[in-house]
Amino acid sequence: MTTLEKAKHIAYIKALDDHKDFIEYWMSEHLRMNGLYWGITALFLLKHESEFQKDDVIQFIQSCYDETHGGFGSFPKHDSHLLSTLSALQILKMYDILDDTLTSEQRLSTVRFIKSLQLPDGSFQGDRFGEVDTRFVYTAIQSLSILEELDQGIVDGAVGFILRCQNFDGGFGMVPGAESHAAQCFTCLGTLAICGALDKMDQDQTELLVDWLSERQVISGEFSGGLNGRPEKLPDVCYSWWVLSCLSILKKLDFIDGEKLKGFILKSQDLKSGGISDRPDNQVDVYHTLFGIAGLSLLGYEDLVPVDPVYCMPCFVTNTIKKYPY
Amino acid sequence: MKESKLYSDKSLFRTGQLLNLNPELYTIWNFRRDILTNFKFKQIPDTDPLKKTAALHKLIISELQFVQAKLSQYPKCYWIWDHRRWCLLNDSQSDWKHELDLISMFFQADSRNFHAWQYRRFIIQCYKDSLSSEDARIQVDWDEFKFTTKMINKDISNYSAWHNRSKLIEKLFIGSSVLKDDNDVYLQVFNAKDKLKFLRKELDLIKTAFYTDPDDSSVWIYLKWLFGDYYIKDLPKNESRKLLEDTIKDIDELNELETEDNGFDNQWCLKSDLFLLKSLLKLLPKDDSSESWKERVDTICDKLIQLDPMRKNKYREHKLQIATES
Ligand SMILES: [Zn+2]
Repeated sequence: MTTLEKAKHIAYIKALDDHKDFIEYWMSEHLRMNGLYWGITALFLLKHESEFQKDDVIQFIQSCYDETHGGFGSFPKHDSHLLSTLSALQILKMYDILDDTLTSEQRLSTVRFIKSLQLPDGSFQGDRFGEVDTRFVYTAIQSLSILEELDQGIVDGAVGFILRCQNFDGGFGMVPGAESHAAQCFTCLGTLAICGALDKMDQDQTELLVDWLSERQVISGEFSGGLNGRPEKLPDVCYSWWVLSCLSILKKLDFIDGEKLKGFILKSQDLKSGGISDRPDNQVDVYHTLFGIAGLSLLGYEDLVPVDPVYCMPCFVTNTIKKYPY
Repeated sequence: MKESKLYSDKSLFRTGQLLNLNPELYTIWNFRRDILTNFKFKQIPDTDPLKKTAALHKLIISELQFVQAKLSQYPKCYWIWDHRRWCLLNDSQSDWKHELDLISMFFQADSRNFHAWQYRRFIIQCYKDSLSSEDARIQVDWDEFKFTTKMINKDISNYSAWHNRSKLIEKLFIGSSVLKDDNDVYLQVFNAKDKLKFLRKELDLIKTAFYTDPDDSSVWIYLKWLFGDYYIKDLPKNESRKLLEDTIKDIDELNELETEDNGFDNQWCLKSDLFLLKSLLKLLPKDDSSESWKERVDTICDKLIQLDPMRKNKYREHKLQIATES
């Protein structure tokens, strides 16, 4: 079997930041903060986080702080959004520079920004324009968890909303009524886990969910062993994270074939220039590179730093977060 | 321009140019909404309310045309769908029927685009909110239910349609008995809130579906829901038992045909049998014939361990459960 080409992946991630003049780089402004989180987390899992200059990272994050609304945008001068705010906080937390970097005023405004986005039904909108999605509930709850600012009002509302997003098949959707999707299962289970509310799920529903998740591993076809995100869809490396983290949270990792999945992820590597793609022979990107490596970490791949299935950060980092209820 | 809050026609034009280059630039969408709200909407004279509504409607229509062009290019971009929703919510004269036609167009390209499905549920909700009588609103749900039947008949593996169907059924069982139509059996059972009759009718559809493609997972996942708490708890025990036994028999007949054709069991038949047998065991008194059913569960698990080795640990756990219960 092929092995994980660690050195090449490290070089690939490092090189991403050196291409500032490329048009694709400019075109990805809207994702830069998330991209930085994906790259840095992958480096942490590979024990090579020092490849990035901490000071540059701090400077970039500071430049993305939104003075008007609090929170962080994806790029300097972009509006703050929950997605980029979580990425910024995760990066600072991983490098253990959260308290040194944020001024107390910034911290306060960021907490206020996040809390202000919770709606009366317990959900969160991503920014002031009102789009609601369980992704935003998760990003808000994890952000507040990192800042250790959760409280009962926020948690109860969020948990209630999440439970209303569970479907006939046990899976979760973007909002109540929306179809189950593996990525949404992750954001919902992750939220419940952070809120200490996994036991609020109905027992039969949990069984259906476990079944649905384990059926994501595809048997036949050229991508056998990979995981898909919805029934009758093609496998994709990022679901190695979305599905696997859920099974890990529910303590059912052994309900799929880890060896076969490892094979699928490793086959999706670019063996020449590094990086991992969504499926074998496609174009690599940093998103699939992280979720491939994180999936391998959950599967206990040798010499990778153990990853926390709830936070998608190294366990040694999340161990330092005070867990709710405080 | 954005920072100086320069709201003008020129800025609006510029946002259009930027979004043509990259529709993922959420900050630019935000800015565009700010320009529309704080500049374009305000340009409309306040004197005549009717004229004002009409002018606003015209403005939104042209914005929707811009959005539609973007959506045709990028049907999976969250921000574009978000912007379309925002437009409609800002117009009191939105044409919901037109939006449904647009969605049908997207379904022709990809009948499982979950953005399009989610958008459809949003449009239906808006349309229902615009209706003054409860009867009319239930009628809309009924029409949507029929729409899922249509989609499923076209392609039984359209899981998104099965999902939506489950949501509509729950709504139709709650709605008061006001649906008026010809001799439609579904309609009669919803009016009578008769879950037993509903199940009999629905199981006919399922049978057709699993004979059409026994290897498609959608219908099998849906089948499990029909024997979940939502139905079973409202049925007399003997009726549930009979339905379960009949369905197991139907599946076994299909499996025999499949085994004759392929030389091995159809694993979806076995997986469904396993689920139904476990539900049956929950209903049966402990003494009864349950021992022989348990033996069947055990045999099925053994077969599945061979046929579906990726999930072998799951079947092993089922075996253990059955053994410890006796
Ligand atoms: Zn992917």
